[in-house]
Amino acid sequence: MEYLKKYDLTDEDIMDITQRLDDDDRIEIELNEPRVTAIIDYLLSIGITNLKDILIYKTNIFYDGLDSLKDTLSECDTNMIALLNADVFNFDLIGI
Amino acid sequence: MTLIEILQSQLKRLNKEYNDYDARDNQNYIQQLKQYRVTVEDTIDSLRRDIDDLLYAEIEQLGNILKDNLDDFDLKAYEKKLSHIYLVLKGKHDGLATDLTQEQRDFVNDLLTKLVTVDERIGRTLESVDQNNFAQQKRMEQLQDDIISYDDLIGKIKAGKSALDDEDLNLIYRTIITSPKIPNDTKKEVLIKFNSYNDNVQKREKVSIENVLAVFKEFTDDPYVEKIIKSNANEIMNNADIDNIREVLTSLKEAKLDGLDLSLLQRFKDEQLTLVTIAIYGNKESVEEQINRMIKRGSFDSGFFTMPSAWIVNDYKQESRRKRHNKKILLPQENHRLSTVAHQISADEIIENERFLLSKGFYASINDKKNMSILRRPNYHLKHSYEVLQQYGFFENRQDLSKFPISSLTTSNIEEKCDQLIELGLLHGDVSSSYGRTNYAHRYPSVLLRLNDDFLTIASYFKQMMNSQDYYETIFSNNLGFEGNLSSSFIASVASEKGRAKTEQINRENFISLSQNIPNYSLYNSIVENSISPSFDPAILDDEVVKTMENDFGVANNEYVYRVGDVVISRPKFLRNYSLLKENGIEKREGALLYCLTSGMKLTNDNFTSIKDDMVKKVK
Repeated sequence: MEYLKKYDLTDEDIMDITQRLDDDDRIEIELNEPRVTAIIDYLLSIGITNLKDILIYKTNIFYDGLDSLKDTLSECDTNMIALLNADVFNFDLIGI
Repeated sequence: MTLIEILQSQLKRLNKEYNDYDARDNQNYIQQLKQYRVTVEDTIDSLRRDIDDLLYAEIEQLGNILKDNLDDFDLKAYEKKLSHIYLVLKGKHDGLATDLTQEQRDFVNDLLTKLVTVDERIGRTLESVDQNNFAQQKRMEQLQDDIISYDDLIGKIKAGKSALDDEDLNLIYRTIITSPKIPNDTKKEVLIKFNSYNDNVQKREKVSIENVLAVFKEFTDDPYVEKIIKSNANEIMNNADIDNIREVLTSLKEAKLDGLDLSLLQRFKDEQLTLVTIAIYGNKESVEEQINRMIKRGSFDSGFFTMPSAWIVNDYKQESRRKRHNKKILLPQENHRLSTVAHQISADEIIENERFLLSKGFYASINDKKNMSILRRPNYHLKHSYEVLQQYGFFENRQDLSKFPISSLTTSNIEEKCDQLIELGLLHGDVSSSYGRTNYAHRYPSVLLRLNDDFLTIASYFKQMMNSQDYYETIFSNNLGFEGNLSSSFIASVASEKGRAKTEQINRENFISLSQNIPNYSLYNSIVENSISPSFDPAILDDEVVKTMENDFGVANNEYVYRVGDVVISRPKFLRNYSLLKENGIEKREGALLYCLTSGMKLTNDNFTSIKDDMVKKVK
């Protein structure tokens, strides 16, 4: 998961993420760098910044295709993006 | 016989032992003893309260119980004396001026002493039967584990790629070498063949990572393919077969498919993990099977390209998968990561999951790569979670389930977590104030995934130490004027190392241990934990104890909550637990009822005592 450091996640963050994920999720994140990177880049591009929480609590996002994620998030206005940043569980409101 | 034939014959024997096991006789005996004990204890209680209550006792059944459990008990004399006593009590009850003689009173007191003796004896017998039962249960679990391990071992030998290790030898030693039922010649043969198999595997030319990289280079120059191979070098060196890799990659490259502009191989350009894994653990046949499956479905579902196990033969039986899933999972060693993703789920089960989720109105699509993490979960798990969420009202007042966050279906121990959310006032709570908070989990179902022991401990602590308003103010934020989010300081306190140290201290200093405060807790717990049904028998609502609970602790217009004093208790939990214990012959005992009410909770001593006192007062 070292590649996540380029998103300003610290060693401690990565340790926290690693410890909280189950085996399947951890391997998915560790070994699918191109897919995970593409998704993180997209999230950042639309102003979603709470990456650590998303990696821990909404790991399901990283299994999906970028196009399907774009379809869902493209409907979000700035208020919704602010809510998603305030609490990762607001992703529930848009079915993620 | 080949090694595989010997192992298959052993597997057949294990399956037979497993299938022949019949716990019913033992269960009937235990149930009868438990019913005896309830009768005896009820009689003791009522005689201690009022000797005249003998009129309502089950005299005939008591006589039989005493005869079965006391060596010198004279049943005829007992029946004769009791028939006289019964007539006197009946007359007294009907208004005649009569009463028991002193001699008759002494007899009843003697009967009471005998009943206490019998109660203690039955208790001791039950304890020892429980231990035997526990041993049998353990044997069943061991057999299940062994059957799964044998499946794996046979698969490993058939693949012929990796050497048998200490764990495999240990399995063979435990189930064959030490078994008195297996002839010595067979044992000897197994050991010889075990060693010769390993010699042959080790003689195979060791695959070098350079050779693996070179064969992949013939088909792709993707740098991530190289990265995955290098970061899983040990596992690949132990399991790769260069010819097999070339064969798999060739079949992907050459697959001619109508309506597909790219070669199948190019479709893996963003899914290097899948490509590498199927080249190592799949084979030409398994890849062709998957291609045919996609042709049959009429689409080259892009989601399959993210799931290595869909391209590899994964034919574990459901029960094996259930067992694997429930097994405590150890951290994967660096050299098992590809194997883990290679054996997650079969393609057919993924398709079945998609069909199931769509039939319920959710949206998950292999084709659109949507909700792929949920599609990979065991089918039985998704179905079970759906039933639980439905029972706990998560789908009420939702017009469109296609927007439901279905990651919540992947929650483990989901019933217990629903109960805990109710008891924390976060699901179906008080409607009179801040319903966004008191019904938080309905709006945010994936909080189920966040509810761990730290969360439960800290929220339980706040809830029991604060008044309701302070509690909600503490755990919720008012960020953006939105009342429905948990506060970041609360989340931080349950999601950090410091938080974990804090929860240990809170547990130690504030909460009692239910197992130490409820007699026979482990017995009740084993009955409840062995059940897989999320719901209760509706007939339980006609039970007298349940009627009392409903009347005294039920909350108007809320089918999810009991309120005992200040403590909120999940009604579905009580009904499910009580229903299960009643099926097993355990019901009216104080410990059993306390278990039904409090299991899964963190309680202060004061609240536990208050529940106990209230419950005893109402139900007795």
